[in-house]
Amino acid sequence: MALSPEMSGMDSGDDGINRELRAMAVRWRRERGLAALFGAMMAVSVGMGVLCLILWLSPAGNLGWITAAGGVLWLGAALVLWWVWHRPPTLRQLALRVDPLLGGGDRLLALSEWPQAKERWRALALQQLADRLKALDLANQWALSLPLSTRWAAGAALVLTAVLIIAGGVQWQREERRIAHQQSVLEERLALAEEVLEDWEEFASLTEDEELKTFFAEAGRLREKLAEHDPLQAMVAIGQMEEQLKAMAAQVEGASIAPHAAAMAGALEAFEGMGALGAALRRNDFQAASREAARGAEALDGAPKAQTAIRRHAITSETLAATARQAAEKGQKGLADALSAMAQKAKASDKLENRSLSPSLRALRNEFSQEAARRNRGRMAAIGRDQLNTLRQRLQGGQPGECPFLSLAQTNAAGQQAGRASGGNPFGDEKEIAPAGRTEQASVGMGEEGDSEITTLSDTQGSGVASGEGGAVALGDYVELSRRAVNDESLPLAHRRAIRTYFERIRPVVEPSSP
Amino acid sequence: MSTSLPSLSPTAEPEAAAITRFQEQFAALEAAVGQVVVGQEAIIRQTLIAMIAGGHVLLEGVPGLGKTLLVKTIASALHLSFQRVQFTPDLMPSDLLGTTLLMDDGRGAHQFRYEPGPIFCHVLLGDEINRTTPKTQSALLEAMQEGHVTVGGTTRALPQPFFVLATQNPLEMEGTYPLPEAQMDRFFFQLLVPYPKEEEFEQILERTTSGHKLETQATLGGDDLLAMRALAASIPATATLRQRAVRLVMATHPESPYATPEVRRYVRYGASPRAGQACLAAAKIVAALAGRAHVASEDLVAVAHPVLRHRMMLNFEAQADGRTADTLLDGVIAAARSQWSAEV
Repeated sequence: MALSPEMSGMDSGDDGINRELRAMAVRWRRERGLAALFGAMMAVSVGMGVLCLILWLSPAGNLGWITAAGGVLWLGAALVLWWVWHRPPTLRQLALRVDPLLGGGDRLLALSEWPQAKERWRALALQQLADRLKALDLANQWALSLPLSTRWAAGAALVLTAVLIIAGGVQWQREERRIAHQQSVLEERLALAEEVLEDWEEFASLTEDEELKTFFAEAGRLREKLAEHDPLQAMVAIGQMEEQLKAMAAQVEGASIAPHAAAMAGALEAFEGMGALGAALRRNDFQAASREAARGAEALDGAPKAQTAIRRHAITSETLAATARQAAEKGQKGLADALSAMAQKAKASDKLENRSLSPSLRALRNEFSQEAARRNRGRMAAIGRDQLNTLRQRLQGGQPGECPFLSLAQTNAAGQQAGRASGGNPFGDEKEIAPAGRTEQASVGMGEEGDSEITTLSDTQGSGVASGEGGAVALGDYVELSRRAVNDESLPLAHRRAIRTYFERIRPVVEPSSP
Repeated sequence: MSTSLPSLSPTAEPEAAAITRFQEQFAALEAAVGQVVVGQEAIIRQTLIAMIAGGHVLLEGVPGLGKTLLVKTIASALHLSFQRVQFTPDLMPSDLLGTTLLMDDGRGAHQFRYEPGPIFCHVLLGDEINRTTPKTQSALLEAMQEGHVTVGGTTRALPQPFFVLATQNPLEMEGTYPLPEAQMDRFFFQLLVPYPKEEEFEQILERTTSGHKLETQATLGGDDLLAMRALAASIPATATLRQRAVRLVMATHPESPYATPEVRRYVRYGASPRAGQACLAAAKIVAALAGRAHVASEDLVAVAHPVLRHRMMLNFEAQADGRTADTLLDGVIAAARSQWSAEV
C-alpha cells in the first residue's frame, strides 16, 4: 500500500518504521471502512425505510423514482465505502489515531510536523518512536472487528431493501393490472364511440334529409379526436356537435306547424271526406296527413265539378282563418296562404267545387310533408344528442352497457318516420295517440258522407325495429357483428363480456312480426 | 509482530545523552531535597521545574506544612546564595532592595554608598509575602521580571539565576494584603501545599523529634541550572502543540470561543500571554524529564494547574458557588482533551 504524499515525505531513514507506518495505515483504512460501513448501512436503512413509507403512502405512480432512489442509495453507499477504502491517511490523521496506542506523548504527531530548526532532535524522536513501535502489539492494541451495531445496520438495510423490492413488485403488478384495466376500459369506450360513429355514417348514407346527411357525415372529426386519445379534445368536439344539434332542434321547433294541428284537424274534418286527414293531424302524424292530403287531392281532381260539403261552414271558415293568422304570425306563409284560401271559400258557401278545393289541399299536403321531414330531423337531432350525451358519459368513466345507444339507423332508416309521435313539441311528452309502426285506414273516403272509422291494419309497436329496408340490413349487420365479436377467442374476457352485454342490450327483444 | 527497528542513529547520541544527564541531575536534586523534606514529591518536583524554567514560585499552604523548609532545602541543595526575608507589615522596599547610605570614610570625607538588600541573592525566600504592604510587594516586580533592581536612579543586576520562592497562608486574612494581579502573574507557578499523608506524617515526627540535624548536600550549581534550562528550551514543540497551548490559555478567557460554560459564568479575567509562555516552558521541562525529544500535549496538561490557577480572576458568583480556579481548570482541560480527540 502506498502512503499518502505527506507520509511518504516523512523519510525516517529506516525501512522498519515505514513498514510499521504502512501497516498502521492499512489498519486505519480498515477501521475507517468499518465506521463508514456502519454509517452507510444506517443511511441505507433510513433511506429504505423512508422509501417504503412513501411507497405505502402513495400507491400509484412513484414506483419508478422510488426504485431509482433505492438504487442510488446502495450505489452511494458503495461509492462512499470505495472512497473511504481508497483514501490513504495523512500522517497527521494517522498520528492522532496511533499516538494514544503508543502510550500518549504525541510521538507520531510531533514527527509529522517536525520543525526544521530542531532537526538535531529528530533522530532521537525517531529512535523513541521505533522503541515504542517495537513494544506495540498492533493486533491486540488496535483490534478491528465488525461491531454489532454495524451488523444490525447492515441487516436492517438488507431487510428493508427486500421489503421495498417485494412491496415494489406487488405495487408494480397492481399498477400493471390497473393500466391494463384502464386500457381495456378505454378501448371499450372507443369501441362504443366507434359504434356510434358507424351508426351515424350508416344513417347519413340512408337518410334523405340533406341537412342531417351533412351533419352526420361530419362525424369523422369526432373520430379523429378520439383517435388522438385525448378525452378533452373529444369532449370539445362532442360539445360542438351537441350545440349544432341543439340549434337544429330549435330551428325545427320554431318552424313546426304542429301547434296548429288540432285546430286544422277540427276545421278539415268539417270538409266532407277529410276525416282521415283530420285524424292524422290529431295524431300529429304529418306523414299520414300528407298522404291523406295527396289522396284527397287526387280524389278531388278525379271529380272536379263535384262539390264537397262543409259542415258548419261559417265556423269552419273562422277556424281556418284564425289558424291562418296564427301561422302567418309565426312566419309560416305557405300554410297561412293555403288555410286563408280555404277559409275564404268556406265562408261563401257550405259547398265547394272540388276543383277550387284541390289546390289548397295540395298546398297543405306540401306543408304536411315538410313538417313530417322537420319533425323527423328534430327527432334525429334529439337521438343524436342522447347518443352524444351517452358517449360523453362513457368517456368520463361511466360503465359501458349501463345505457345502450338508440341507433339512429335502426330507428329511422332512409328518413322515414319512426312512428313515435309527439304532441306539439317533438322533444316533449309522448302521447298514446298512434303508436309507432301502426298502419290505419279510415272507413270514409274523400268525398263520402258520414263519420269515418279508423281501422288498424298493422301494428309493430314495441318491436323497435327499423321501419324500412335499411334498418333490417343494419340489424342483420349488428347481429352478425355481435356473434363474430363474442365468438372471437382472441378477445379478452372483459371485452367479450362488454361486447356481449352491449349487443344484447341493443338487440330487439322480439323479432319483427309481419303485418 | 515482525518489525525491523533501526539501530540508534549516531546523530541522536548527543541529544540522548543530554536528556539522560538532565534526568539524572533532576533526580539527584529531587533526592537531595527529599532527604530533608518528607513527602510533597509533587510540590518538590514542580518547584524544581519552575526553577529550571527560570520562574518564581508562590507556595500556598496552611502553617506548618514545611513550605519554608522546602525552600531552604532547595536552596541548600544548590550552590546558590540564599536569603530569607520575613515579610511583615512594616517592611519597607529599601529593606528588600537596599539603600544608599552617607558614609564617613574615616578621613572626614563623606560619600554615598549603596548597601545592597537581601534581594541580591540567587534564591530569595519571601516568607508570608502577603503580610507586607502592596508598596513593598511591588518592590519585587522589577526584580522578578527583569532580573535587576533600580535604586536611587541606578539599575543594578541581580545575580543569575535569580528565584523568588514566596509563601503565603490562605487562612489568615487579618492583617494581610492580597498580592496584586501584576505580581501574581509574575509567579511562574502557584503551588498548593497539601497536608502530608499519614506515613509521611510519621516520618516527619521521627526526623524532627529524634535530635538529628538533617543537612542537604549541594548537588548542582547555578550553571547547571542554566544548562538544564537551555537544554529544555531547545526541545522542539510542534505547531499543533503551540496551538493547543494557546487554546488552553484562551479557554480561561470568558469571552473566548474555547471557554467552557463554567468559565464564561465564573471567570472575570483569564490568564495572560505570560501564562502561555510559562505553560510551554514548563511543558518542555516535563518532556525532558519524560525523556522525550519533543513536547507532548500531556506535558501541557501536567503543568496547566500550577501555571493557570493564580492567573484566573474569578467573580463573586464563583466564590458564592464554591468554585475554585482548579475546578474550572479541570473542566477546561477535559474540554481540551475532547477537542484533541475529536481531531482524529
